[in-house]
Amino acid sequence: MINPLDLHGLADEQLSPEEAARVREALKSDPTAVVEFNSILNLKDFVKERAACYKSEETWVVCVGRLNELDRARRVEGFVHRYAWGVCAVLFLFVLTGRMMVRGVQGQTVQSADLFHGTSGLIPHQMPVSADAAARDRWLDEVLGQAKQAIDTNRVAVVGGASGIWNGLKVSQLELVDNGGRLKLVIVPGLVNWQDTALMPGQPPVYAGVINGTNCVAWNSHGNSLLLVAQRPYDDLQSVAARIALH
Amino acid sequence: MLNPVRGRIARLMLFGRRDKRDAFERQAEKVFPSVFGTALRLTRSREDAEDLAQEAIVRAYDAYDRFDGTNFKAWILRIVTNLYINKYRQRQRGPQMGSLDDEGAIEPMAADVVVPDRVLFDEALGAEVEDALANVPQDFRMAVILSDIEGLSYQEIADATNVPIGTVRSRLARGRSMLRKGLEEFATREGFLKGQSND
Repeated sequence: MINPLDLHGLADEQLSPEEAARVREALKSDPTAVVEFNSILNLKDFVKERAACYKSEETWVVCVGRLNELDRARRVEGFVHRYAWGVCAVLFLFVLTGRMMVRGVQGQTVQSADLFHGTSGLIPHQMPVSADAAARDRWLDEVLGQAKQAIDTNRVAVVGGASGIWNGLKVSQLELVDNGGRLKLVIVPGLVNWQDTALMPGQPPVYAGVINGTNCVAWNSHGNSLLLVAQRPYDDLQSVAARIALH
Repeated sequence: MLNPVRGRIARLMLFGRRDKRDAFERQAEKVFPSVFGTALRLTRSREDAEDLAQEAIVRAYDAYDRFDGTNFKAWILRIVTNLYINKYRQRQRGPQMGSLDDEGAIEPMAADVVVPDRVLFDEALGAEVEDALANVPQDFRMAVILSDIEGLSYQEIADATNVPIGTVRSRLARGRSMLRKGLEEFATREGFLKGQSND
């Protein structure tokens, strides 16, 4: 007797050539199996012909919409994955560079009065007793450090000095004397943006201000910011600045 | 025959994202009636069938890079049946049992024929086929749908349903037998057959 599964396999053309040949041979002598085999074929053909063909345009349109959403999500994902770190790095560099440029051009913003009042906390440096020029130079180096390159200390009499840290800035102060009286010179390495001052006409370009009723002028020189304070007119202060500034 | 792995790599290299989408959409649209029809016959609910078909299309697109380039219809129907088994099967009402009795005896279709093929197949319409099919238990119904309606091979059906080929053959034979019985019952009930009865 032929295995019914083999009849189904033959009808479905899923048997190997050898198996198919064997079953066909067996069918020649088994009329009951032939009826069964034909019945299987008839049912297969019937189901294939009569089964409904289901079309759903609406469902297909929805599918396409979902594929579009998937593509959009993948595009965003791909962009973020590929470029996010680069974009972040560029933005960071941009911010950093911009800040450095602004700081380089304008420096830290300082109120002249605040800076001047901050000098009260500076540590005085005792002046050398001897009038030896070398000793004086050493003393000036100690007080001014690199700020020494901002002024010509030979053009003015220095009678005192102090230095220290104020608001994170290294600050030096010199007590000066000339024919007009005493002056105070405050020097800050680096460039600052002087607030509460106004640019004066003339040379050198200085910014004029007032600290507790006392006139002051400020200017930048050789990478240092200088503030000269004294009870005298602005143009007098400007001429002192012109005298001591190193060009 | 082209190595399927090489074919996949070549396709990925040659086609950009847009081309991949176009290629997938062309193939998927062509077989969508089979996708939707299979989903409908499995779930027997239009709403569930729409969800199942959409989910299958999306999953297939997501996995398109892994398609080996052979039989797209068999590949996507495998996704449909797996999704159905994993997601919808628990929710289905109606004839479920089938797997427990896979190894039972195969009843011959022609042995106790009440209605000759000639009469039965001339009178019954497509709707009767679908109704009779809907009453076949799930596992057997799946085998008949994939073989007789969608034309998949035994191996493709085995891959789609995660069962051995022997189980596929057994389920198919029993499914056909049950389907035919269902059609006969319909024909007898509807009185197609004057003078033919079980009396």
